[in-house]
Amino acid sequence: MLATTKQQQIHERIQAHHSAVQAVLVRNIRHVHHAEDAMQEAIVKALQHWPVKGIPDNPRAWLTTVGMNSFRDRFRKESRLDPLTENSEKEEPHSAIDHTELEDDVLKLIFMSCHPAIATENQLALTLRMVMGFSMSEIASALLVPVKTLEKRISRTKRKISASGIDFALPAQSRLASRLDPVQLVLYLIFNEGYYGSSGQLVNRELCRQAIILTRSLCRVYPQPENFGLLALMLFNDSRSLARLNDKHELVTLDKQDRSLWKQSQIQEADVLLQKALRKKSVGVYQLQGAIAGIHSIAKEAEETDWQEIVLLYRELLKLKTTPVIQLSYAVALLFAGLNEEAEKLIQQLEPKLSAYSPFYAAQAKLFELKNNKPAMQAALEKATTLSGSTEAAQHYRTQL
Amino acid sequence: MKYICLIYEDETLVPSRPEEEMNEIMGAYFAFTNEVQAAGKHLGGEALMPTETATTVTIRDGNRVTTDGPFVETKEQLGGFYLLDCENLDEAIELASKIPSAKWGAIEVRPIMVFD
Repeated sequence: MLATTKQQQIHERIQAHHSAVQAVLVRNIRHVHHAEDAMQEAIVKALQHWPVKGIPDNPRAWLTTVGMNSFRDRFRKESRLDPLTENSEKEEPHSAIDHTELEDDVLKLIFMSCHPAIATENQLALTLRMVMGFSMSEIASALLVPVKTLEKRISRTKRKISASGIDFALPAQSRLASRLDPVQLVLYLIFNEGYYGSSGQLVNRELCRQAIILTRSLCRVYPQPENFGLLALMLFNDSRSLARLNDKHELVTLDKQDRSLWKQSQIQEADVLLQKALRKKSVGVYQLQGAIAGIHSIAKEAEETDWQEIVLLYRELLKLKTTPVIQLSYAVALLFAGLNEEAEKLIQQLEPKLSAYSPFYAAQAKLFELKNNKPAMQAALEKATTLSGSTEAAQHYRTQL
Repeated sequence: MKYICLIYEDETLVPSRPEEEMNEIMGAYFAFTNEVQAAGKHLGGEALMPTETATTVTIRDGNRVTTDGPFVETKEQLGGFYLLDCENLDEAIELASKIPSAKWGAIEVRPIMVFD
């Protein structure tokens, strides 16, 4: 038990520094493929040394030095370099590096991984790999692809980055418009992956925390309204983390959550950020979703939720972006706002598109519940359970059966 | 870095274009060429004759075989190219999007291989 805890602690420490170390390695090595190899070697060495010698005082410096050394060992065997020493953690390359510079390097790594010339699924895969430090098998299960396929895709993406002139740099303001969209989307997807646990894992708070940190630095460098909208959205949702799981580790829906567990400081921060963004009068999908999340957050009781306002916000959102999942959320909002007929029509329309999406059947169940059709409601809940990827969501549906 | 911008469009549309529209397109192409030349980014570029003039050559088992027509029949054909000198892929994409045919055809941006 103790050994497992120590292993886990080491794993967490590596994960926590992964993005910064990987970014510095890419910056120094200037070659994404070699930089990733160097990172992997540093991780292997950490897993060998740390359980014996303990976690070094400065794990980031240790990993960076070991990564750089392994790169040099492989490519410049002739040069005289000190082998890994006890105080290697003290000789951090760029020891004068400040926190902001390090954050910028991590952002550069994200902008590189999320270049619009890379397909969206590969942007996400590479970000999970290089920035978040996920293993191939973790990413494969999150993206529902075989490990071999994923490995090929990641190698191909790294080759494209090196060969096609995708820079490790923050994009110029003039080119920001096209560069920002994919970065926002990938950060949003990473947060959601942690929040909704679609890969069948438990709610992953660390993933949410990391997505928030990265979005914060994005806001610092590029104070665009949509970046603030995205950050507000994440903070509003994340503020409910403690209330989302009960002591049996089951998912609790918004209407049944103990709202005293919501983190008020985070809600207030999100609110300030959102208001600041909205004042710029350049509304976008993240600001609107943030605003919807915000309405839930300010309701003291579930019954006080302003569903009419949520319906209006969804209508605005659908003007900018129409996906079946957003339409489904709109349909649910319509149900809560008492606009049942409109909701029913929409839910019927969505069935062919969402027949493999468990929340669809949860919404259908809600509709049948309102129509007092118990058998149909139970059938819908059963379907939701069979389809649900996340253990908690599945338990939630089962408790309603 | 050097990039080639391969210009693909439906060549069957060309003969049916009214003269006025054709002149407009040519004007836009001249303007683009002038712009990249003035910026020192133009390394070369040509327009190609239609694919009906193409001859495809292969050697199989030591024998030369010539085929009348393009290597692959596609809905949109390679109609020309620019060879550009760009700072990075972002700049190459930015310039490619200014090539007039991007509005109705497609521009494929490929880095030039460097042998070192």
